[in-house]
Amino acid sequence: MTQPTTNLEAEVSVSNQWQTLSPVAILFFILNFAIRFFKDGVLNMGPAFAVFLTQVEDKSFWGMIAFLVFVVFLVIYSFLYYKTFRFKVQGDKILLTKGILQKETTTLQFNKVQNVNLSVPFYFQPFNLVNCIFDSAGSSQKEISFPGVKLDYADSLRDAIISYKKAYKLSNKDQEAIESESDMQSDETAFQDSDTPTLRLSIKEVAKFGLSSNMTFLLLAFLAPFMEIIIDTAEKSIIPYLTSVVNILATNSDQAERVAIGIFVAGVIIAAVMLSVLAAVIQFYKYELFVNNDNFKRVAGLFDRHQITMTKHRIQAVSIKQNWVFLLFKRVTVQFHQMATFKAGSAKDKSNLSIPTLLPSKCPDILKQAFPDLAVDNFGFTRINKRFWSRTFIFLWLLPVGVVGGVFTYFNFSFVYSYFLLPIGFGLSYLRWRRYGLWYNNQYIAIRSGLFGHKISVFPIYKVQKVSLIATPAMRRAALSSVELQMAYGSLSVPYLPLEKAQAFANLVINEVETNQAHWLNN
Amino acid sequence: MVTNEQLALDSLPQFEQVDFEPMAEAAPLEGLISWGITFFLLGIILGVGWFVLTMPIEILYVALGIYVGLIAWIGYYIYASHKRRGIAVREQDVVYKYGLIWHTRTIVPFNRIQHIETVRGPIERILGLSTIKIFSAGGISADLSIGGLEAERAARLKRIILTKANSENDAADDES
Repeated sequence: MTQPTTNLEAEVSVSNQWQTLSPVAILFFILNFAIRFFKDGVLNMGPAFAVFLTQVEDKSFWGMIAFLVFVVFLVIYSFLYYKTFRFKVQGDKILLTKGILQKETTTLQFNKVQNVNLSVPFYFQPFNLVNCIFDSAGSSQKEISFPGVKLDYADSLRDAIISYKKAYKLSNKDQEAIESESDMQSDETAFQDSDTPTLRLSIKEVAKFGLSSNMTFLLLAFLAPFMEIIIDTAEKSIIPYLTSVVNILATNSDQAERVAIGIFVAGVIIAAVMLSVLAAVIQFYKYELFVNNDNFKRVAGLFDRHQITMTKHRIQAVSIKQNWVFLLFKRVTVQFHQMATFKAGSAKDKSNLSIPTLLPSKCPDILKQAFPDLAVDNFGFTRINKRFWSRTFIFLWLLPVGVVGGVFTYFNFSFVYSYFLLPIGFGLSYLRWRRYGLWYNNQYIAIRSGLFGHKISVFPIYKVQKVSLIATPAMRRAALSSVELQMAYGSLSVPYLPLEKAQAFANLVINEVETNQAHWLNN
Repeated sequence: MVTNEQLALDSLPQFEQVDFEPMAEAAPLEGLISWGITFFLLGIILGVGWFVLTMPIEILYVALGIYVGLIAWIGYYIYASHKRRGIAVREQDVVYKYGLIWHTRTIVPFNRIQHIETVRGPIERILGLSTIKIFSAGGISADLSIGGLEAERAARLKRIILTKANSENDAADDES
């Protein structure tokens, strides 16, 4: 391996010794650890919390003490963490050591870095600091970040890495360029500060996304264990208060209590929805999408301006989603899927880029940006075989409801009402069948699925990794087969295609994968 | 501009035309032995239940019925699914068919293979068998786990795949 350009050293020579972060980073660590503690720790702390609520006498006093201890510990821990956080740039790699009790040393080769993303928490802004994140998606390297370095430093580091990678690629074109993860032509046309965004989202649009996301339900599910306490306090303090207020307006006291309970429940739901909207605004405030020849870049965030860059040729698929709320709003969500690495069972998709809300009419433009040679505005989806409807109904509804409902009805006749689920299931099975669709030409595939809303995944055929045809005995009798395509980010399937069509489709896909010379990750 | 050329589908190589090679003759033995051990242990538990705990005879009958039924089903399953399995290596890909109820045919192109593992358990070693695991991008576990191959055939297959996969990747990288 030849060492490329030596002037590289000069460029980053300023930083050739161990460096520390700006002290503002302590604040970053405090917030980060606190968030992580609440995210990961609170669920485990549930039992302790319940004991505290039910058993401890002097709640406010001990609660205060616990909180103070927690804060002091957090501050000390963050300070020590900051003190031990050291990094340096040495030749063609970044070295980082950190950790209080357990020292952790990470080495990141320049050529393993896919992107250098900058994120600016609001409290970094006055000091001209950034959080510099080295994205090594798709490689086995651990992701590292420097929270609290000067913007100029981050920029020069980014430039150094990009020019290194270019030089590396040139000098090793013949021998070492095989390493699939080692390219980054990505920033050949880097974004300029003066670029105007291709897309901006208003706060109203972002709020709509908040309404559509499932955050609300998650929050309610999270509150479920504490429901009793909430209802208890509600009964004791809030409801009587509300009742008295309602009483002033209307005189019937029996009605008043019912109205009060209604108001309370509505209040809780509205608060949950509001929180969800708030979360969406925090994440996507002032969303801006930039597109150039090679990259998509998005910047968004209320407190923390987070920037994500994605190289176009790395996009494995684009999916356009519309759930039932967005169906009402006439909006869609667009997601760009990148290769996923599965580590310890969890997919790392935080570096995936998405457009939270978009007018459906703008989808073709965005698709054309991602896949320039996809010259199709309207996919003429072909439906899957109608038997899917009856099979889904029989196996997912008729059999389970019939058996379980039958057994229960035997013991208690009122369970006979469970059979009212069957017409609903019949309708849902129909919708599921109706939503499935497959479209392809000789370069691209689009697959549609859904229930009330829909999801359309579009991708170039050569990005497919594996093809499977699956058929159950009943499907074989009807000459049907399901097709499953594995992509680098997950798999997609189209059930109940006529066998001949499924086979022809599989042959087409395999032929394209085997004859297209473009590399699925690097082109 | 919408191009919509007619695709000559019949002229494409058709994977459904391949002749599948059956798995090793000894392959079902491996399943029989490992399940045999399991059922032997289960039988001991049943025996203990009979002699020591003096279980009611009705429960024992039911347990015995389930025991025999399971053995019969697994025995049938091992042989029937063995007959269903088959492998075919084409110039550019591996085709593997398996599944007794869910008939599955999976095609993995060589140029999408990331790496291969060979696994040999104790029983497989005694029987001279080998399992090949093929990994491509995006899979959570192995994309294709081909068990019940003779060790010699597994080694040959692995060699073929590795040569093909590497030359494919080289070619692709030269292009890029």
